[in-house]
Order: sequence, then structure tokens, then C-alpha cells
Amino acid sequence: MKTSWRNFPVWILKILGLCCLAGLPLVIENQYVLHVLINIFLVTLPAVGLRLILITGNMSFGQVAFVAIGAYTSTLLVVKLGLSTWVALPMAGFVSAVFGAAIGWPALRIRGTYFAILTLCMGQAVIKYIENLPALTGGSDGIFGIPRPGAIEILGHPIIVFTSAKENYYYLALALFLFSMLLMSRIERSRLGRIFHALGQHDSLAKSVGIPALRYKVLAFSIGCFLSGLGGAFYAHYFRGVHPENFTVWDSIYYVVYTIVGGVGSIWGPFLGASAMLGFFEVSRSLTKLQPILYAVVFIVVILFLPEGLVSIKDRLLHAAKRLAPIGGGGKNDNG
Amino acid sequence: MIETLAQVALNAVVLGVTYTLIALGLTLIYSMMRIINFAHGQLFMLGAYAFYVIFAQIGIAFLPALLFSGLIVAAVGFLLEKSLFRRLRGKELSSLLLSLGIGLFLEAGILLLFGEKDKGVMSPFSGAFNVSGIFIGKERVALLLISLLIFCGLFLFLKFTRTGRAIRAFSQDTDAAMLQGIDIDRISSMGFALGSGLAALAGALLAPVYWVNPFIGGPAVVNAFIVMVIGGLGSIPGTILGGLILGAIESFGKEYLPGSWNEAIAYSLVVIVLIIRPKGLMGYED
Amino acid sequence: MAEARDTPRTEKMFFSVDQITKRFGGLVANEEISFFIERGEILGIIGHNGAGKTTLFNIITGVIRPDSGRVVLEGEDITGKATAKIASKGVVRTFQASTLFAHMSALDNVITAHYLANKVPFWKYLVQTGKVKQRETLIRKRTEELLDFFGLSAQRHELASSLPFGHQRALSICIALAAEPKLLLLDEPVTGMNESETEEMMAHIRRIRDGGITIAIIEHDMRALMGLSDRVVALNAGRKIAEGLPDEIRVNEEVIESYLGREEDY
Repeated sequence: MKTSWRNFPVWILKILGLCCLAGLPLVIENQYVLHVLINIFLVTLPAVGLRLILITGNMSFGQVAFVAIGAYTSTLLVVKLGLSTWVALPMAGFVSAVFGAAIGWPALRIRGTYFAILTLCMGQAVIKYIENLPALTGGSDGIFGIPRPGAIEILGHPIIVFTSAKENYYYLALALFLFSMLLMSRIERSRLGRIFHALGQHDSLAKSVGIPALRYKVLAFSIGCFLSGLGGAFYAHYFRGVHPENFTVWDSIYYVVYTIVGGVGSIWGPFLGASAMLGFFEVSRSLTKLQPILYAVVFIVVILFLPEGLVSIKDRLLHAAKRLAPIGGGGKNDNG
Repeated sequence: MIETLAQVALNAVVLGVTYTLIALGLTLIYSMMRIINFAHGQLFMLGAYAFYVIFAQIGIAFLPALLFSGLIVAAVGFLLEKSLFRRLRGKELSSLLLSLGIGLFLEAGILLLFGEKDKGVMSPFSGAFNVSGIFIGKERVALLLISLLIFCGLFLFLKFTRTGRAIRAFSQDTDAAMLQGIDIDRISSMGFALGSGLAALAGALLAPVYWVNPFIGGPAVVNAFIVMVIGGLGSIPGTILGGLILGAIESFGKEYLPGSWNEAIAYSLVVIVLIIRPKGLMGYED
Repeated sequence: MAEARDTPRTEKMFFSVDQITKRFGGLVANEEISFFIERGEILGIIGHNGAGKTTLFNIITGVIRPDSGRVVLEGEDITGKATAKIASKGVVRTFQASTLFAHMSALDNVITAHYLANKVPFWKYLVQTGKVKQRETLIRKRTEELLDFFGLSAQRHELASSLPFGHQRALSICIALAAEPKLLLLDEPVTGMNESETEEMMAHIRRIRDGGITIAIIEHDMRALMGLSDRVVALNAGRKIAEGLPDEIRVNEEVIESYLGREEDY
């Protein structure tokens, strides 16, 4: 990794940003604002997973299915088997990952556009199965009254207790979000990340040097589904209930929107996209009537004029600045 | 029992024809430009609203109203291709996302203009035929007949008109078509217009029979996908077959299976078909 | 001498294709193509556009399945296996267009291509253990050596897609070499290059062979191909019409008719 002086300010900004995020509940007492922030983290998790899937060259319009699987799994583990929330959460993630691998193994052989349609219909199928298996999932009645997560204790003393106050849920959501960022960061810098990017950029070339493409695409897909499942599990415990109508194709579409608007080029893209659009929604509450159409316009504008998303703004500005001030530059013909 | 079975079968055919109608435009655009038009459902919805305004509000006669609805939305499609989709020609993912964005935009726009409540459109045909215990509403008969007319019209158009043949040539082999001197830009716009017009005709035709609200686009396009995948991407006879299959699944499923199992089956079928035989029952090798 | 070369040897062959046939609809791309490649030689493959050369490469590397026939490497039948599997057995190809990982640097392109040399169970990557780091350092060293070999060291941090054409071709060969092939299939390595670039590439190819890698080349540039090849196979309309030393091929009637043209360029 190049570490020139140029990267430094970004690095520091990130630390500052993290501190701000962590310190927010100390400053904000408005429960509604906390709810919005929690929501942002909630949708960011599946979007981060989707980004990984996109990097390997596949578009999924069905991630809500894995969110639902995670939500229901966690719910059933706690409600029916009496497990602790802290055990159920990661297990729900793993169950979603396993489903992801099971579907991905045959499905990821399919080419891009067809795969997109496949995921769309798969997403709908999963929700319909949930709806129509009431013995397992409570069907159209849903499951409610999920107990709050158990308190986190140190040496028998409860440190973090979950009540109707949103603060601790915020920290949990933040922790999950940071976990996903850490995971992505490790992957990006590793051989795995290079393989994933290679597959997305040119999978025939990757195969020709011995990379078993399907295996790694399934891996990426599973990891993406793991994060979706984690998000779903958190959803279930935060809202303390699950119902098939909570999971719709629109959720899948919004994950796509947030990821594309934010930009796939950076691990922070999905978070940026989700924050921008959900934040915009909140700020423009007075414009509620115009909100759907503004969303659509923003999305279209990004696709046409900013295809690499919001994260590319920084690079674009730098690029434009270089063009305007050629001092020290001198154009790019050094390869002669 | 026989009556119920016959009634269910009849419903299956009616539904099937409906779904085929909706899916035709999507298939056409896909076979031409390899674009999956996510906005297809909203163009369908636009057709329904156009018909509502022209037929129910302004009061123009039924058939001309249908025609105008189709033409207006065809014009919209023409403009969309020319101004927006053309910029992203060749970029599969971007075109897909753009079509999604346009769909969102159209839905939001209609929501803003007309509100979220259903608009009632009265069918000019009332009553039903009773054929030895089996009922079929007159409006549905009209639906079937006009749909058949549209299918035939489309077939004749594609087979015998210059534009139609150009569209077919373009679908089958873009390079060869270019060599024959076919103007890609013009044909792309015309094809998109045709696809949009067909979507709108479906919406207009179904307006008296189903609902007219801003949200009908989503389910419509998903059903169109199902039809397209099962019947075969890019094949018009395949689309008809796919439509009938979906109609059968829905009709028989609703009658004999509990809950929304018919939907679960339809969606699962798409997934299975895509995995086992992506080109569907009658589609082309890609 | 030509006859002796045409018949398969009795001892274990390094590589051979045996009666490879492939049809696309009505079009015959390859028809009963058979030839062998000796270890350490450079085999040239010539033929018109559409003679079936790239299809043959595609079949050898498992991109498409032949209708009939076999591909045998060191006694093992590799017909129709997955491309990645065939690569792990030692057959690697380059592509006609500049096929690269466009959004990565030249360095990352080649590091990524070292997949086969760098097999460690995936979970170990999330935890950077000592062994992983060791391998990574080794790979990086090898990568820099490869880039240096082709004169790309100065460009190693450049984005692959922004490299000039000649460098892109060189990079695509680096990528193929990173997979440590036994048999390297080069698809038009000098097409589009000027004289000096071609000479340079030819020298590189010779050095690759000297390093112990067997090479098969598809090329249109007759001088380059004849200059490099130990033996040549000529294809026309999907069939093999001649096989032998470059000098023999040059004067072969059928080859001249179909491809070389009566006088000109070689």
C-alpha cells in the first residue's frame, strides 16, 4: 500500500469519524435520531455484503432473502430454542451464509443478467416460503415479542443493559457495522481481495491462470449473505418481531441503490450511500411528497454522470484540479 | 367438479394471455438490445393511467383510447431510448440500473401526480357469458379477442413491414444487420418504442379489469420476467407458452393449494429454469 | 525427415492433440486436427482468420469442449477439463485482445496471477500468519523479476488499462508466466507491433523457451513466426494441411495457395 503524505489526512479523518460515531449517543438524546442512525447501520450491512458480491462480477437483487433468513433464524433460536441473543446473532449469520453457498453453487455459474433475474425471483421465493410455512415461521402472523438481548456482564455486574432506550442498540449496531468494515478491510488487502477483484474484472483471465472462479464467487456470495443475515438478526432483535411483510423486493432494490450511489470502489461506499440517501430523506421530511421522485432522480443522475458513486467524487475533484493546475504535473506521457 | 376444473382452466387461459401481453414488450426489447428493462412494469402502469385519462376522464371511445394510450407511451419509450439508454449502449449493468432508476422515477412521478388511490375504470362491457355452468365475463372475452388481435398484429408487423423485418434482423444478428445498412440508432429507438407501446397496451387493456394505481408496475414486471424466463428469452412463441404456463400455475395453484403457494412455485420455477436451462423452453442460444 | 516428424513417436509425448473436431452449427471450426508438440520446442500455427486457430486454443484450454478428439498433456487426458484445472496442470494461454485486469496496477496484475504458486487455505488470509507473509514476499519478488524481464519495472504501479499497447501485450505474457506453465500458448503475441517491438518480443519469447517452457504460437506475422518456430503447423478452413519445418512449410504448395500468397511477405 502506498503511503504518501496524500493519504494521511484521509487516515486521520477516518479515526476522527469513528470517534464521532462512537460518541454520538453521548451528545444526541433524541431517540428518533438514534433510530435513524440505527436504521442506517441496519441497511448498510446487507449493502456491504452486496458490494462484495458486486466486486466479483455479480449483481444480486435478492439480498433481502438472506436478511429474512437471518432474522427468522435468530428469532427461532431465541424464541423456540431459548438460546442467548449473543449466540443467535452470529449463528444466524452463518445460517444465511450456508443458504447463500447452497444457492450460489449452482446459480453463480449463470451469466450476469440472468443471475440478476435469478436472484430477484429467488428473493421473492424465499419470502413466499416463509409466508407459507406457518409451522416453522408463524406464516402470515409473524413472530412477535422477541425478548431483549441479555445484558453484557463483567464479573457478574451488568455493564450494558438493553431496555427500550436506544443508546445500547445504537452501540450494538455500530459494533456490527465496524465489524463488517474490519472484515472488508482485511479482505481488500489480502490475496482473497485481489482474487475477488480479478474475478470481477476479467474472470476468463483469472481462470486461465488457474483461479477456480466458481469457488471464489461462491465464497464472496456467502460472505455477503453472512453480513445480510447478521443485519437481519439485528433487525429482529431491535424491532422485537418478524413478519414476512417486513421483507420485500424493495429492500433488495434499495441495497442496490445505496451501494451504487455510494460507490463500489471503496469499502465505505455502501455506508456513504445509505447515509446520504437515508439522511437526505430525514432532512427533507418537509418534502415528503417529493421524496420518492428525488430518490429516483439522484439514482439516475449517479448512474449517468457519476457511475463510480459518491466515493469517486474525491478522485474526480483531484483529477479536475490537476488538469487546471499543471504545475508539477506536465501531462502524462512519461511512458513514451 | 368438472365445472370447477373447466372454470379454473379457463381462468388459466385468460390469465395466461394477460401475462403474455405484459411480457411481449419486455421480450422484444431484450431480444433486440439485450437490455432487461426494469422500467417495463412502470410503462405498463403508464399505459393504464393514459387509458384512465383518455377513456374515463376525457371520454374518448374504447378502441381509439387504447390506441392512443399505446402511442403516447411508445413515444415516451422512444424518447427514453434516444436520450438516456443510448448513452449506455453496450454497458449491461449500467443499462439495467438505469432502467431501474427510470422505473422508480415513473412510479414516483405518477404517485405525485395522481396520488396513491386506485382509479376506477369502468369497462364498456358488462355481464358475462354462461357456457353450461362456466362463466366468463364479457370484458374478459374482449380482453382475449383484443389480445389475440395484438399478437397477430405484432406477428404481421414483424414479418412483413420493413421496420419489423429490420427489428428481427437486428435481434438475430446485430453485426449482420449493420452490414445490411440498418440504422442502429433508428431501429433501437423504434424497437424500444414498440416494446413500450406493447407494455402500455397491456396496461390499458387491463385497466378496467384490474387495478389502476402507481404500484402495479412492480408485480407486472416480475410476472413478465417469469414468463420470459420460462418461455424463453427472446422468443415470441415462447412468451406465449410461458404466459400460459404462468397462468396455469396461478389459476390451479390458487384453487388447489393453500396460501400463496402458487407464487412460491412460480418463483422457484424461474430459479430452476435459469439454473438448468437458461434459455427457457424456446429461447435462443446466447 | 518430414515424414518421420509427422508420425507420432512411441515414447511418451509431451503434448498432443488427437483428431480434434468442433462444429458450430453448420460451420466446421476444427476438423480432425492432430499434431504433437515436443518438450522445449516452439511450435508455430498459421492459418487464415477463421481457419480455426483460436478455436483450437480454446479447446486445448478447456474454454470449449470439442465434439470429438483428445488433448493429452504428459500422458494425461485433459480434454474438456475446466480451464483453471488445465492451468494447474501447466497449460496457460494469452489472448488476442489485451486481456488484463484493467483496474489493477501492472504489479497487482502479475501478483494476482501467481495464484497457483501461492496456495494457502483461504482462512489463513484473514489472519496474516508468518507463512502467508513469507509467501507474499516471495511472490512479490518473482513478480518484480518478471516485470523486469519484460522491461516493465518502471510501469509497475501504472494502471494496466493505461499502459501503451506494446506494454500491455508484454504484461499479458507476464501474467501467463506467473502461472508457471509447462506449455505456453501465445495468441498473436506480436500482431499490431512495429518492427523494433516485434524484435524485442521475439527475443523475449526465445528466452522464455530457453527457461524451459514449451511454446505454441499463433501468429499472422510470417517473419516473426517463421523466425521463432522450430516446427510449423498450417491450418486451413479447420483442417491441418501441413506440418513440418519452417522451410518445408514455406514451399508447401497447399500452404502457399491458401495462405502465404504466391510471392510476398515472408
